Amino acid sequence: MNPTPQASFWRPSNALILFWILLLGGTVAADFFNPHPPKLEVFMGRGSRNLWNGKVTQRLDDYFPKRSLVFTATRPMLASSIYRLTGEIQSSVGLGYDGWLFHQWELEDHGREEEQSLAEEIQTLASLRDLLASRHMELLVVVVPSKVRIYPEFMYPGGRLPAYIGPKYHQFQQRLVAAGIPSLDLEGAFLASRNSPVNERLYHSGDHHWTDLGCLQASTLIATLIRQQHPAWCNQKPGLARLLPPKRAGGASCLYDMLGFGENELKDEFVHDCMRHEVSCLKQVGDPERLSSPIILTGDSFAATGKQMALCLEFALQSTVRDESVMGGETHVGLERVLKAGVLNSNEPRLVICVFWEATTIGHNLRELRDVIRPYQKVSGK
Amino acid sequence: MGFVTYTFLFVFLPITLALYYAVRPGARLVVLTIASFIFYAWWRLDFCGLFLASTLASYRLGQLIDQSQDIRLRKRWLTIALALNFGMLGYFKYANFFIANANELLGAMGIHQIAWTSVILPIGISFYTFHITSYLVDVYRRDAQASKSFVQYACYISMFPQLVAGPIVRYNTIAAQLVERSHTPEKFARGILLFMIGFCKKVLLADQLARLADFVFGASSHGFTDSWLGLYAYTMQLYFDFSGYSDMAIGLALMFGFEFLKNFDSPFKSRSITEFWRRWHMSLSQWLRNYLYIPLGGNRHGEARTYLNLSATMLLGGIWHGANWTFLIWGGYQGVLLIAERLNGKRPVGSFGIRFLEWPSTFLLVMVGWAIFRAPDFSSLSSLLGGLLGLGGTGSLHALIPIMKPLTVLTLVLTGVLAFWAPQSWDIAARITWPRAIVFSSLFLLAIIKMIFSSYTPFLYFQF
Repeated sequence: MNPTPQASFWRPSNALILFWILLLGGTVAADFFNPHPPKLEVFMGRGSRNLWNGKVTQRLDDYFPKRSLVFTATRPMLASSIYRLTGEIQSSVGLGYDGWLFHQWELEDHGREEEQSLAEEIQTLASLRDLLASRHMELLVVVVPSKVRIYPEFMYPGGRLPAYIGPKYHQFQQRLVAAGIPSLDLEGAFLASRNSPVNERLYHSGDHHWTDLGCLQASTLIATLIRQQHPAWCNQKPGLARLLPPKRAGGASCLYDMLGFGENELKDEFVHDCMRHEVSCLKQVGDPERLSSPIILTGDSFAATGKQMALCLEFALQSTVRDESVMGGETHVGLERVLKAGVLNSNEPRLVICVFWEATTIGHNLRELRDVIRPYQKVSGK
Repeated sequence: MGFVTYTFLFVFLPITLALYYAVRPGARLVVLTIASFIFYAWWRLDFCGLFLASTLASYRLGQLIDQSQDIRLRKRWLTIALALNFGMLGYFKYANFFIANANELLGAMGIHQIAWTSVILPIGISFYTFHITSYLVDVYRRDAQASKSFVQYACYISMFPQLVAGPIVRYNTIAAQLVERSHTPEKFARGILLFMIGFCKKVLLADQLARLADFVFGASSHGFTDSWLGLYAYTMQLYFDFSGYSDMAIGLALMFGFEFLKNFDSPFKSRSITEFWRRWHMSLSQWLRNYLYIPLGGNRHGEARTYLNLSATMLLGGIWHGANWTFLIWGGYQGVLLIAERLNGKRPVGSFGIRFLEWPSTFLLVMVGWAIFRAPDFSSLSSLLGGLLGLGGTGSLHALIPIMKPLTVLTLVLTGVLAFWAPQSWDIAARITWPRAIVFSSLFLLAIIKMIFSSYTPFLYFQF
């Protein structure tokens, strides 16, 4: 008996073609005929230990070309936004004077638990230093002071920090020095310039991240160190983006004033170059294939702020800190990518700059970082 | 733009397929060629110019070879064409290596070193050089006529499914298809199924093992246990990565109506190294045989010459993979094994004449070969080989715990089962049944989800 026309159509090969058309064509159609503008997508994080966010953002361009922005929000940042919008205070932020918000972790007392893990942290960083040194690479640890340390008066009456916050940053710095781990102490410079002549702060009042000025301040100090130790890496044919300071929406004009650039002196090309650089930077974040720079930046929240730091460092060095050298989204994730990229095997002199934030580093064990580097130290039981 | 990216899967491929089938049949090759150049330009626009120039030059030289009736003139044009072709490959692929080694030597002798800026390796150059060579030699030998149409020729060289990592399609096997080929729903569906199988092999299996292999090969010292585990992981990663890529390439070609030859034939089921090379990266083996081993004399000039030809072929095959001494050693190792088998009466070495040992001994020798292949330098290689021999102690799995997730262990077992006992993807895709369509569509969806939420892992053969 001959099959009916319906039966002959429903063959597995036709079903497969239909599946293919629906899957591929459907996705294209959904992207191109979407009546709504590209949307802001918020991925709710679980604090800084969330890897999910990093995985989404690292291949943002490849996987979501039609999306304008995927906003990775940790609880405190989202809480800041909620406060701004509704006035409602979430548990993960501390409300200070004049509407200043602080990350809850900046304000917490972890007590003895924190003290116990300090030694382990120093040990982990020393291991990382040794691992890198065995392959002609240097480590530079940069601990970014918490906002409350630089602007305590916005949280505590009279600007007096509680005893449990006060000394821990200094103790950590001292231990780094004692262990022979190259580090950079930003606190002194930050305190000296906390109230800049142009009235721009080093940190945003509404969240815990530094502003462009703070980032530039830190980058200048890092650049000074690099200039001393690796002069060959500086002043290498800087392009337009490297000659002018990075521009961001907030406070940019003040920053330019302070650096001696009038608003009208800035060329449009710079803005384009800067934007292109930022996009390119974000695209390359964590792409180990392209790693070729002698300077490797890794740091907390780097998927979002690494481009800012790369720009600032380029400006401070007057040299190219290649896009691909920025490894995000947290220090251990960035380092894992660096190691996975086989950088250790290259035996080329490099500087690995690990930027940590005080509140998520000191006393927080650095367990993930330890897990990442351990297999590279000795895979065998020797 | 790799095959395992959102851009390729959900933007480039559907648009290319839609345009290809929307235009009249005579214009389809134009669409495919333009799409292939866009695919290439996605990597770097400037090297696209080099690629186009190379295609144009070889097309014209192919015509000159074809038109020349005088054998000496034909040979002269062929020599010029091959010199250009391999000169370009030599410069882009081996200049850095040569200068680095020369500088090392000069440095040791206290002589001023050569100032040199590293050359960037254009992606896919090794593969398209071989395609161009295949065309020119086939035309020279009169195995195929020179292409009458530049579009047809450019499509053969640039066709995006095989552009960056093969399979290396011999010109005379595809020349007729460039002029005329059939497009049927069955062929298209077979292509889809093969593409989905390859995609799953890459994303669900190979990428799952990448981390373990990278850890072991990146370690500074190696014990017995972790060395073997890491080597096994890399062996399986390489196989499922590359055979997955080949399946995807062949599947894509089928969607456009082209039928490529099989590139893998269950190589790990081999009972000798000779057999292994008939089953692994078959298009490369055949290319080396047709365009190198046989022109060198093959086995037509006595035993000694045969061994010499075999060694030369395998050494060049090794160095083709990359500018590194380890690749040369790997090629030499394969050559020695092939010669040893010939001396042993074409029986596998290491099996001591026991049939039961033929398969495991062959697999073991192949694995050791991959250790040489993957090692980035001599010190890593010696450390790993020492680890394999137990010179670095028994080793411990303790350090691997952070990366030995249950899914990794499961994948290690599963890849072994699939590589040694499962039917080939080629055979699975030959006949589409409901269970196969449902199972692989489901696995494909799972792989897409994994792709989106995983970090990007490029195909291993892209580096060659």
